[in-house]
This record gives sequence, structure tokens and C-alpha cells, in this order.
Amino acid sequence: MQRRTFLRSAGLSLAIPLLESLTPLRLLAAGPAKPPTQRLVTIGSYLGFHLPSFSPTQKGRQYAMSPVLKPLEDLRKDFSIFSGLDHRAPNGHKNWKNYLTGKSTPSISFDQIAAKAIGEQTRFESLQVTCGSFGDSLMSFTKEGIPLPAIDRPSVLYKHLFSSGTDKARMDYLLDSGGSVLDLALDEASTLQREVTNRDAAKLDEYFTSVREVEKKLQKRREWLKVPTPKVDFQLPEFDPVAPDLSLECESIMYNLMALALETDSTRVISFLLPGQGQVFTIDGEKLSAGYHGLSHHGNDPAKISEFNRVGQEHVMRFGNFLRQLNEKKDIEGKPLLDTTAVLFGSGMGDSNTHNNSQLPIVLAGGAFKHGAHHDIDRENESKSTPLLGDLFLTVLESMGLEEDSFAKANRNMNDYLL
Amino acid sequence: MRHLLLPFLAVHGLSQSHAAPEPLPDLAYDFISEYCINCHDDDSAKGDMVLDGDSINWSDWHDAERWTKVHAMLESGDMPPEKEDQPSATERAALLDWLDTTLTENVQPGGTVIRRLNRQEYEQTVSDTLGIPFSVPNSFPPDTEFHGFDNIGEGLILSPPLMEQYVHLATAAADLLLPPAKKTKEIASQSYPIGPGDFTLNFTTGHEIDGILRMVDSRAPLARSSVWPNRFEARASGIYEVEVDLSAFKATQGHVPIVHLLARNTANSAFQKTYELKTLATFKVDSDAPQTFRASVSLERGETVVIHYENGPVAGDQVWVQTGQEKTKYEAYIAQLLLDAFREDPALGAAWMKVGYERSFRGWSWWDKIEKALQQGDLDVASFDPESPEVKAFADQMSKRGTNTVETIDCMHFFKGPGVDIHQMTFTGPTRLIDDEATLAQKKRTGRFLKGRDGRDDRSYTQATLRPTLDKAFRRPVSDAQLEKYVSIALTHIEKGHSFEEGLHLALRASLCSPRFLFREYREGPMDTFDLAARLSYFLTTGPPDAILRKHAKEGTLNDPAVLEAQTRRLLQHNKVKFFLDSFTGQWLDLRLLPQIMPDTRLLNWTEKDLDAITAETELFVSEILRENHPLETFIDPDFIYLNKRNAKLYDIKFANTEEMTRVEIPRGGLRGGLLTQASVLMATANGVDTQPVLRGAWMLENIFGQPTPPPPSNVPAIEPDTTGAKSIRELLDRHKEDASCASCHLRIDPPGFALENFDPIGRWREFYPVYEKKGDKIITLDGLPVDSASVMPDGTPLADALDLKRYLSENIDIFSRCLSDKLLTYATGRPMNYGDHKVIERVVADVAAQGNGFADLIVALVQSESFRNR
Repeated sequence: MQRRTFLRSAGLSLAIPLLESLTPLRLLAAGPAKPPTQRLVTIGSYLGFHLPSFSPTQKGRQYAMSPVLKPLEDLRKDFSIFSGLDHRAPNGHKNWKNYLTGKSTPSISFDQIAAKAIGEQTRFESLQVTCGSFGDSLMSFTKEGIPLPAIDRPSVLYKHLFSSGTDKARMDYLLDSGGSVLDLALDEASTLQREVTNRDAAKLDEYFTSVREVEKKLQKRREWLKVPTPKVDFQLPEFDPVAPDLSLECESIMYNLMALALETDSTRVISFLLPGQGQVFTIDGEKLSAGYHGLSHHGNDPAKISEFNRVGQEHVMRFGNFLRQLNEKKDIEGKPLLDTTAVLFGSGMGDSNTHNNSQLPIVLAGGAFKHGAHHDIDRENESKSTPLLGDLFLTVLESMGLEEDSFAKANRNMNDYLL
Repeated sequence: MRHLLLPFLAVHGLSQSHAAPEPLPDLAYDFISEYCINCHDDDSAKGDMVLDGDSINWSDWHDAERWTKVHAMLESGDMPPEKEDQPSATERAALLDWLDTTLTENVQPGGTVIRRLNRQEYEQTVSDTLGIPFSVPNSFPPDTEFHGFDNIGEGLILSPPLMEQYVHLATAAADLLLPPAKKTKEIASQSYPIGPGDFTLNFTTGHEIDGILRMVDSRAPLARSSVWPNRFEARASGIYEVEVDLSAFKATQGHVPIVHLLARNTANSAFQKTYELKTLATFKVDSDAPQTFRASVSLERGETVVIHYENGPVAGDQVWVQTGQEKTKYEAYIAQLLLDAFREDPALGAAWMKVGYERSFRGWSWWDKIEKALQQGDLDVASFDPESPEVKAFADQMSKRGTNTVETIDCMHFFKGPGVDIHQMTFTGPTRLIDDEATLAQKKRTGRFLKGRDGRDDRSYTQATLRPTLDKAFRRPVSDAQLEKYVSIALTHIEKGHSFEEGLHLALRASLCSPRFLFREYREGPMDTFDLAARLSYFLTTGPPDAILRKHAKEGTLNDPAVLEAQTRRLLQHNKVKFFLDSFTGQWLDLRLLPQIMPDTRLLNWTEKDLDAITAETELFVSEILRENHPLETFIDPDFIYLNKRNAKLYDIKFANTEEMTRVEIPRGGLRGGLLTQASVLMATANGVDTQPVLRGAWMLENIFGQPTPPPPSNVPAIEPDTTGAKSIRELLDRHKEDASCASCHLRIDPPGFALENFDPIGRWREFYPVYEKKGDKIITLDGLPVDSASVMPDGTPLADALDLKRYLSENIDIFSRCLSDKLLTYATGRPMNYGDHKVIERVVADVAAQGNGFADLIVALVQSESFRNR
């Protein structure tokens, strides 16, 4: 009863039987041994940060919190800061997507490697989220290099995760009737099989195999539909703040929904892109002097840097609130979600003033890692053992139970820093 | 021309009869044992070629492929290798003679494997079948290329993720015809007051001052000029009453600000252009005092209203322009804006010049400094002369700062005017709900599809509705038994309590997932008129047969050579032939690869427009040859060329300063004109940085000469150009050729490669290889080693340069005609050409050459041939 009370206070009116009904499915897929880290959230701010204001001056555990990361002071034992990490990949706005893919050629992103491996265990294999329209996704890519579209409206994400109304009824209907579509397809293929030559029959086998695979997948989705969508006690705002100048407001709501998505185990992999264009923000009732993009090209003008940092702090503050939520919310065993959720926060842009994609701002929070330090990677005296951002990814993946040999140019890991 | 018609053979492909293996005659057995078996027995199996055994099974296509290869290797002299015992000329000729006879007899044209619709075909087929606008999402899995094309039966694999997309898209397509019933939600009319602080601002689109929001910019990209309420969007498509209080701010003499209200979908990019949006209302703001303007506007769900100042002081379509004439024009415009302002207010000019420019200056940060300088008041305004060369030079210099300066000019106008002030805005609505355009279009489609029940019962109504759709979907008349399957899935569904529309919707979903929809050319035996109509249509339009073709298929007349020719010629003039040209030339000439090649910036500053120009040149060129039925020689040595300023510059041809591709007549026999020296081909055969004669040569052999070479052996390192310029590529290659195993192929690869060495990686002429040197922070290009383009063709013809290569191909046009025919038929039939097909091609090429060698004639003749008409 105690937990139930807690859930409600945390914004969830989730009945215990629901959790129980989820359990068999989950155990079935997850197997007995659980890896130390079970969830992955990757967050990227498109315009990046002012690096000298983001990276602490001191390294090690006794560092003083940097101006931009100030809102995370109370959480310092829950995260690590990395300076000097990147993928040694090309520069420019267009190469921002290197952040999670590590290279310019079409390739799978970090989050999708995890999603492919563990996504089966949840209703949604992964989620891609952003705030308002921002063109193609820059974070999540399939192995063919196809960008995965991101949900950009809070109301849409909410519906996607928790709707039990008309959308669900429609989905139910389509999945149910879909069975007879596939039956007829197989029936047609069988008649055809008798008409064709041997070589063609082998080609038709691809059809049979594919249809049966889809059948299995539909079956799984139908099972998920039988599991009622989680009921959450969340007040969606009247209006979706999708206008560019309201993107920070949108960001807060998206973080809340993401925390709920993890808590309800709707998914275990989320990527979140914080967009940045020319919008003029109003912070604490005060309109900034220039558009966000203009501020990012600060030309080392202290006034502009200071305003750019204000936006940076707003992002960090929201990120901090998200971490606090994950600390309060408990997993099925009653442990804080954050303990088993790796959260990467950073940017594909190292220095937006010059559009440089090296030395990225990187924070890793949560998960089963040893945190609390600022790791300043020495890039002056680079050697073969100088870690790349991909090495950090490999460590995270390993902690999630995924043995990957390499990521882009990285083929080591950063276990020494984090385990 | 006369009909190039050949007896229509009722034989198809490699016959399916399970004939017993034929014994290998002594002639062949002895030859193989003597000269081949050492390397090609089961154990060694060099090159994966095994010639063990004493029989051939012609019903096994592997055998047919194997012996075709033996013929090719013996004929080219590539086998046996030089270092091995060689057969006498008589022995070789005897075996070749036997092989030719037996292959001709046993390997009939044909052998296509069942073909799945590729991405483009699928899109067009769904769209045509249901009469809906339809395109697949980005996430749709790409097709695999096989034998150079993405429509080859063997390469078109069906995978589970693709099938999942098919299932998903079948629903999406059916929804466009028979959408799920929507519950009409009653949306109460509401009032939305919007204050001056409730607008989205980007860059310098607005300035809030004393309780008003001021606008001064009129540029086309929304995010540069316009504002819109950040918390209002239409909750339902309907009529909304808008009220907005506007006043003019310091309008100059005779200037009446015009304000447009535009409809903008909030899901779209903030960088949309104003002229792309629907204008809802136009207001003349002719008073300094606030006036209330009213309009009744129709908004679709998700739309909001943009306020755009139409005739403000700063206009233009561009955010910034990077190159060329437009850049100059744009900069002149900005400079003029500055000079006008300086004339009007010399103090401002003096202050601006005093402040000057630094990298971080932009918009407000710059303007603040200018204002400060103005307030300090120690400016020497008296000696500031806006007409002086110094001031003009300063304005010019500032204009080069593009956006940074324009945003600062915006700030200036916020104080100086003219501008438009927004005091408040109110939306009330929806006062009435309306159908949006998409809904209206859908209702029309649905009406056409369902027609009317006319008192029929469910069964006969369903039958009547589904039959024509299935006929189209399966590209042949559906049998009663088949129709019944789809009717019964619909009826069963209806009996379960679903609506009639839902029943049809389900049957449509099923039909779009059926193998009879997704695959074509699956029928055994000779192709009937339905398969023929589909093959012809997908070949020349990448879509399913249209009504005329369907009629000829149904009446069986398409088998008549005269009808087939007329239909082919009709499609060749149809506007959909552009899909064929785009797909075929894009793949044959590798134009599709061009966007992935990024030329070295040390060579030139490459832009998207250059890429467009060189691609368009080749497309227009091939398109004209087809449309005008020019002789095939035209591909090599035409008397016309398509130019705009961009490719003309690459070709070093003086040409008008225009982006428009223009047809220009040129004398034949020159360097430019023709595929071989088009920038697109020269770029596709290099890597953007340097040229490699081997790669170009191999490409020419494959795509122009039709003599593909095997891939290089893996144990031989690739030849990398020596970037220091110390060794010529020829020296490197000559050393490479000393190896006998390399020599046999390089004899053929190198000549066309060397002949084109005078063209750099983007197709510009050069006589020296470039060497780059760093001078300060600049990189300069110096002449390195001279280019040596001479070589000798395997038949002994000497080639001095690219002109000789063009001459060689023009004089031996059959080489090219055979290659092009092979590519066309591979693309059309979805299979690689076999021995029998090559015999057909020989004959067709000779026939067409005798009739004037027209490109369209060639396609007609190929369509009439057994290769096209056999499966």
C-alpha cells in the first residue's frame, strides 16, 4: 500500500494489478539476469553550449561547478562531466548528427543500437522527442542511416504513450482485422506457389517468411494492446507550446512525459533533441537581446556569451529537474529509476561560434556508474589511448549488457573512468 | 521505318522441361581436360569456376551461366592464362564454334525471376490503382541494386521490415479512399485575446516597445520578417473572426504600410516563404492612430495567422546569398539602404562609421553601440559626406556582412520608421466548421470509388466495386474465384457488425498486400498481353499500365507487332517517360551517385547549382535524343550541347550569364558534346579529388563499351595516385602491368582511362596535374607533371586523346549500341542478358543500324524482340 501511495504522489495513479499484469511479459522477454543499466536517454542541444562556461576549470572530484552547470550542484554525485571527447569526425552544422552516429556516412546511432537490443521488452522500442518542428531528426538513425522522425508536440507524445481512447480503439481494430489481411495474403501466395517455377518459388519463400514475421510482430503488438495503457495523473496543458520562442516551455513538458514513459516502462530508450533556431527567448519575463542562433555565434562578445549561457542554464535546469524526477521515481524493485537509467546530455556541436564539432560538451548521469568527477581528457598530448566519445558509448552499452567491439573510430571503452 | 519484327517465339527463358543432362562431346571434354581442369577442378575451383563432370544440364541455369562464361573467356583470350599451356588457334576456334552452336540452341532469351515492385513502382502503382495521392515515408527500406539497376528480379528482396511497411501503408492508402469515421466533436467558439507580447519573435522580426509590437522587415522567409501568435492555432477547420489593431509608425511621405494576414500551419518550418502561404486578408494601415481591422478568415486545423508587413523598407527573398551575380545585387541593395539612411541622417552615418564592424556585431548588439556613439555626441557630423567615396566604400564593406547588417538595419528602422505597430489582436471562432481541402478532395475520391448502391445488396455492390480495383491492382482481370476471396473477406467483416465501408477498406488492405499486387511477371510460359502491357508500362513510365494499354491487353491486340510498336511510340512521347529517363540514365550513367561526391575545395567552390547544371545537361541531352529519335552516334558526337553559365564555365565556353539550360548548336568532332566528355560522367568516374584512369577506364568499359571487366584480384594493391606529383600515374600503371595477371585486363581498361586523363575530377580540361602548395594561409595550385593521354586500343588503334576516343566510338558505333541495348533490356526485363539475349541484341543492333540507328527506333525494336517478350 505504501508504494501505491507513493506512485500517486509522483503523478501516477497506477493500480498495482496493472504492474503485475505487465510482469509476465517482461520476464518472458528479459530473461533472468538483469544488466546493471537498463535504460538509455540521450539528450542533445542543437546549438550546444559555451564550452568555457560549461566545462569546470578543475578536474577530478573536487571541481567547482561551472556557471552553466550550476543548476546541477545538488546532483553532483549522480553525474560525470567529460571534456575533450568527440568522434574525430568532420565539422559543420550538417555534421551535427555525428553526435550519436560517430560518422558522416549513414550509420546507426548509439540509442538505436540499444533500442534494437532491448526494445522488444517494452511497448515502444524507443521514443524520439523534440520541441516544435525542426526538420529531420538529427539524433536517431537506423542502421541504413534513415533518420527516425521525432514527436514534436506534447499532446501527441501524451496520446502516443497513454491514450486509451479512440486512437487505441482504432489500433485495436486494425491489428485485429490485420490478421485476416495476412491470412488472405498467405492464401494467395499458396495458390501462386503452385503456378510458378522453382526459382520463383524461392523468391516467393521470401514473401511467406516476411508475412509470418509480420504476423508474429502483430501478435506481439496485440498482446501489448491487451495490457491496458498506463493511467497517469498528468495534466496536459491546454495548448501545445510549439512556437519556436516557447521551446523551453515545451522542453519542460516533454521531460515530464519522458519521465512518465520510463516510470511506466513504456519504453527504455529515448532520444531528445533540443532545437535551436532564430527564436528570441523571454527568460524570467525578460526578452533576450537577440535570437538564439545569433547568440550562439557570440563572436566572444561577453554580453552575448552571458545571454547564450542563460539559455544554456535553462536547458541544464530542465535537465536537472528530469534527473530529480528519475531519482524520485522508483522501478519495480523500489530502487530509484536513475540508478539503472543512463542519461547522456550534451551536443553534437563543440563550439557553435565556429561550428566546430570537436571537444563536445558531455555529461553522463545515472546508470550503474561511479560518478562525481570531471574528466578532462588531455587532447594536447593525444595518443592511441586517448578516449573518444564512442568509447564512452561502449562503456554504457556494456553496462546495458551489450557487447559491442567498436563504435565508429572507437574500439576501447571508458570503464576505467566510470566503473 | 519498317517494323523490326521478329518471329514471336513461344519459347521462354531457360526451358523448364526437366531434360536429362547431355553428355559433353569429346571435343569439349578433351579441351577442358587438357587446358582447364588443372585450375578448375572441384578442389582448386579458381575464380569459383568448376568444370568437372562430363555432362551439361541445360535445365539448370547455373550450367548455362557456366558455359556462357567459358565461351566469353575463350573468346577474349583471357583464358587459359598466358603462363599456362595454350591451345592452338584451331583448337580454340573449334571449341568456340561448338559452344556457340550449343549455347544458341540451349540458352534462349529470357529467364526473369519474379519481380517485386521497387519503391518508385510501388508508389506509382498504389497511387494509380486507388486514384489517391500517395508517397512512401522516408523510413521506407531502400531497394538493392543488382546488375546496375534497382528493378532486377533477383535483387528485389522482400524482407520482414519491408513487408511490415507494406501492411502499414496498405492501411494508410485505404484510409485515403475510405477514411475511418470521425466523431464530429462539437467545438465551441471561443475568444482568444492576443497582446503585443504574445507573438513569436525570431531574429529581428519584431520589437516590443511601450505596449506595442513593432514590425519593420518585409523579407520573404517568415523567421526573418514576420510574427504570429505563439499560443493560438485553429483547433478545428473553420471560420474565425480576426480583429487586429494596427497603426503606422513614422510612415514616410506617400508610404502607406500594407499588412497581409497569412495562414501558416504551425507544424511547418519557420523559414517558409511568405509567398508560399495563403493570403487571408490585406489591410492598408493609413493612420498613425490605432485602427481596428477586421476579417473573417478560414483556417484549417493547426493553422495560425501570420502578420506580414508587405512593403516595408527591407525586402528580398534571401537570407543571404553566397555567390555570383545575385550576391553582388543583394549587396548593392543593402549598401543602398545604408546610404539612403546616412543621407537622411548624417549623424547616424558618422556614428555607424565610428563604430565600424567586428565579428560579433549583429542586430541589437551592433545597434546598441551605434546608438551609444550617437548619444555621446562627439561625432564630426559636419565633415560626414554621404556622397564621398569613403562613405560609399564603407557602405559596400558593411553590405558584405549580409544578415548581420540587415538585422542592424532592422533595429535602426525600429526607431526611425517606417514600421507597423501591432496593439492587440483577437481571434473568435470557429464560428462555423468547414471541411479543409484535404477532406474535400477525399470526399470526391470516395464518391468516385463507391459510386452508388442503386438498390443492390451488399454482395453485388461489393463485387461491382472491387472488381475494377482488383483488375487494376493485379494488372490482369481477376478471376471469379479470386474476386470471391476479396468479396468474402469484406462480407464476413460486415457480418461481424462493421460498416460496409469498413468491409471494403479491409478488402483493399488485403489486395495491396497480396503477392499478385506486389509481384509481377510470375506466370510461367510465354508472356501474355497482360504481362507484356505491364512490362512495357513499368519500363517506360515506372508505373502500371494506363487505360489504353489495359484495353489492348484485354483485347489481346498488344501481341500484334504494329499495335505494340504504336503503343511503345505513344509511351515514348508521354510525359511519364521522364520517370524512365530519370531512373534509367540516373542508374546507367551513375548520375544518382553525384550528390555523394564532394569536389575538393582546392579545385573549385562547388555548389548545389553546379550539380544541378551538370545533371540537367545529361538529362536534357538523353531526353532530346529519345524525343527526336536521333541516331545513336549522337550520344558520342552530337551537334548540340545544353549549357548554362555553370557547366559553360567548367567547359571554358563563353556563355550568357544565365541559370537556364539552353540548347546550343556546335560543330561535330569537337571536344565537348557527347556523353564521354560531359561533366556528369567525368565526375561520376572520379572521386571529386583526383582522377584514376583505371576507375574511369573500367567504368567506360562497363557502361559505354559493354565489356565489363572482372573485379581486380584481391591480392594486388590498388594504384593510388602519387599526390606529391613525383610519379605520373602512367609510370605507376606501367609497373602494375608488368604482372601478367593484371596485363590482360589493363590492356582494355587503360586506353579509355588514359584518353580522358585531360579531364579533372569535375570534367574541366587540364594539361598538367595540379600540385598544391601552402602559401601563408592560402593554398595555391601549381602545374605538376604533364598529362599523357596517349594509348593503344587492344585492336591496335592508337588513341592520342579524348577526341580519338570519340572518333573510335563513332566509327564503331555498334560497340556502343550493343552496350546501350544490353543496359536497356536489363532494365526493362529485370534480368542480366544471357547468351541467347546477346544474339538477339546483335541482330537488333544490326537491323536498327540499317534503318538510321534512331534511339527511339532501337527501343521499339528491343521491345519487339524475344528478349523483351519472353519472361
